[in-house]
Amino acid sequence: MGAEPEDSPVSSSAAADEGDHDELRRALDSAVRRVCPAWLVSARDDLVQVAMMKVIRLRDRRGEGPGEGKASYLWKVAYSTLVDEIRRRRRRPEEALDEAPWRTDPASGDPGPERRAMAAELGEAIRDCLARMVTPRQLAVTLHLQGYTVPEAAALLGWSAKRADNLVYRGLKNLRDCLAGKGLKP
Amino acid sequence: MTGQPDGRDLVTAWENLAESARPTDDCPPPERIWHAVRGDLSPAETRTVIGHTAVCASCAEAWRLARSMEPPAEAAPAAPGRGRQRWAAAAAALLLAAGLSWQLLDRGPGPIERGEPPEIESLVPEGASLPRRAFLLEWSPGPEGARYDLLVTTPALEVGVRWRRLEEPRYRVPAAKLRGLGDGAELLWRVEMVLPDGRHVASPAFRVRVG
Repeated sequence: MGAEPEDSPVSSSAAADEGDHDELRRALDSAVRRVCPAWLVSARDDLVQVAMMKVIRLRDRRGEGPGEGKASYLWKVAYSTLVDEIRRRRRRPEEALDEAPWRTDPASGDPGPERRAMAAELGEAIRDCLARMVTPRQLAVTLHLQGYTVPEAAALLGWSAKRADNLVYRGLKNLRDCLAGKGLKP
Repeated sequence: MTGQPDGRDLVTAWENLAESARPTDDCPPPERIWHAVRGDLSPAETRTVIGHTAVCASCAEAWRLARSMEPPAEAAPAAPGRGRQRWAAAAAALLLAAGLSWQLLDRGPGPIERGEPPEIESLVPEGASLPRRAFLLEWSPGPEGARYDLLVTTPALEVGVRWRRLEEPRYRVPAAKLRGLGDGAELLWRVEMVLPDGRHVASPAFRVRVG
């Protein structure tokens, strides 16, 4: 793997005063609020605080630097803080992330335990099928499942559009054949 | 499972794997995923990250989160990223303009129109007192096909209700669920909307009282 793109600390001169700290907090709060999953909402203020500390620490350590611009940098810090927290919680088996204390209400729209189990089975099967796929098709299908169009996937993967199109097509066929082999077919 | 799963089933099932995913020591740092999503890495580096997300639901979720975070000043709808691969996106757009057919409509979720995601607003007045028998939480609807995750907590952030993938932008909390709360008790509620293209939009926290 090559070198990471350089982090770009917020301007130390700008961040030095209280007003800028408020601005910093608002920007980070906005970024975290935008994508914080519902199950992490209780930790949102803590996440903003941690992100602020990261920014200030990096600023102090590195001083001013060139880079992607303030907004982009702050959002990246907010993102990495959020992902770190998600990973931290998911590494701890004692924290049941999806357990609500109340039972499923059929009128609520919740799919219920049976359908959830079926979806879980399908999800595991997809992952298994992806793992068996040859790499180019695996990459193409992964981006397809992530909602990327062919031109977007081609640009990201460094392929021609025609190649990406072909690999998505063949990869999806592989996926469906693999799922059918696992009984996920009429 | 009976019946051939359609494209949306595949996407939903794959995304839901994240709920039980456990990160590993092989997971790339979040910053690397962030830069991969934005096209800041080389294609070879990007492919390595994507290859990991294919088999790691935790990092696949991190990828989706990164993609849903477009800093306001730099939002660029329909572009996969920026930086060194912009030329490739432009080239792809030119190919499209030249009439290249993608024929993807029958392959699952299909091409996605990406634009500014909708805001979620509460349709319940802030701080309103709702009767236990009609404790209806309602919010502004998203586009057709959107699903909603709802979280209701006490001010101490004890989770009371968590519902996933609601199809309607409303949910009536059963009176029985409110039994342990006194009259006037305050609750916080929040909605996360999952758009048909997989993006997530989170609402701010709203306040409501038990009448």
